Amino acid sequence: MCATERDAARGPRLDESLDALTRTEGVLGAVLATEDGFLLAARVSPGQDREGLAAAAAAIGRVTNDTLRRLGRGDLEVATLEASKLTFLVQRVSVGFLLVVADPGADVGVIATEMSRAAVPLERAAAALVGP
Amino acid sequence: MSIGALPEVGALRAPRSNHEARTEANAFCTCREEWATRPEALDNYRTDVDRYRRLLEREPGSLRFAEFADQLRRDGKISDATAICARGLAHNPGYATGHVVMGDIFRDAGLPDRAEAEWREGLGLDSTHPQAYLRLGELHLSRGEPERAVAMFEAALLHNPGFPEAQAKLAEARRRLSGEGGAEQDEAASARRWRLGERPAWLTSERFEELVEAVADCRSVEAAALVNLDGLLLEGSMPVPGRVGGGAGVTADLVAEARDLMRRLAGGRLRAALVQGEGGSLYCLALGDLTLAATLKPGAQVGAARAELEGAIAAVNRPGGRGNGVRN
Repeated sequence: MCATERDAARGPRLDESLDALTRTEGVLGAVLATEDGFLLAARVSPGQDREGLAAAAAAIGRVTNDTLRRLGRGDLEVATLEASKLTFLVQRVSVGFLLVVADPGADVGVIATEMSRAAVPLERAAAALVGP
Repeated sequence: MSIGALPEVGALRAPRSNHEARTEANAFCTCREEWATRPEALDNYRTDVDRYRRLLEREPGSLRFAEFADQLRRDGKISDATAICARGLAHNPGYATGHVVMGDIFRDAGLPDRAEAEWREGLGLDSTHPQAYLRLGELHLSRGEPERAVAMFEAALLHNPGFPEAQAKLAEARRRLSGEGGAEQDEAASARRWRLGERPAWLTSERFEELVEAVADCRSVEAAALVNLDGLLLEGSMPVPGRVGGGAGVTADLVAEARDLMRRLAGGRLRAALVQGEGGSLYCLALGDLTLAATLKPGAQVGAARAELEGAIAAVNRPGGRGNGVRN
């Protein structure tokens, strides 16, 4: 099986995990990116910039992880940035970062739980995708 | 203090602390004003220059280099001032006032960035140095950043409530913030203010301590601090083992980066950042140009902690202040 066929075979599993996540109330989109900001999978609205969000996932992940390390709090688990128009949640996963964009009034506790749930199959599929 | 009251060279000694040194420096400033108003004081001034020079030759490690360098700077002898101050700082790198004077020299030499670095160095050594806050406030004001200037002048007054220069500058900065500065406010400053949001009206410098205490008293909170845009600690503490100065600067960096990301992602104005790590969590609440940061105790439930923090802030915000907030 060539790389393209392998990606195609594994792609739906990534998407399915993101689909379930984006069905959560208040979630507007979800992106899985590597630590370098390379896009692995995305489920976003038509107007949203997939690559831009992948880069944002990595940027938020890096900044918050660096903050925790400088404070002696270990590595990042989840970061939540709440702004007036949007809320961003970033969870560290083995292949990089999982980003969710949500409404400002969304229940971040529920979304974080759904992210943790989605992370397991996402990590499994993504690891196979980016692995040797 | 008159010129004649200055101690003889042999009696000069290094101040024991930055605080003591600053007190002596203030006395020195009084002398300098006298030189300007009393002609006969000028001869004494020249004698003092010689006195300083001789002293520093004999005692190169003396902290009096800062006074001497400042005197030379005011005389327009920037090269001499730089040499004296640099030599003095080489012997006394931990002397905050020395860095403040070096910053003044760089400012007069038209090197504002280097001046800023020296003033910040001074604050890093002595976070209660009102003159350093004043200088940084003036710098921000000159750059069209009145919100940053306000934070600096407030910090100066926090550590020296009767500081007339800081009071006057604070009033000026607030006028500019409220729009009375008119043409002095450029478009960039307006955009920055929009992005930062306004500081809540109730959050005056007199309430800083009350707010931080209320948050620090929450069950889930380990430490709390109020930090300005530049990472300067205005109230509270955020100790980090092995890290000089604690975590105040780290939280300011996080909020600055997060604000920038929100702008680029069209997310709007940053309200809060909650960062959960393997070894604990950090909660930052943006309050206009200030950040209220709290580290949470290990094992603290994030949802409960947020509710506690919001309750504590609401209690401070309430007319009459605290009283019903969540307490230990």
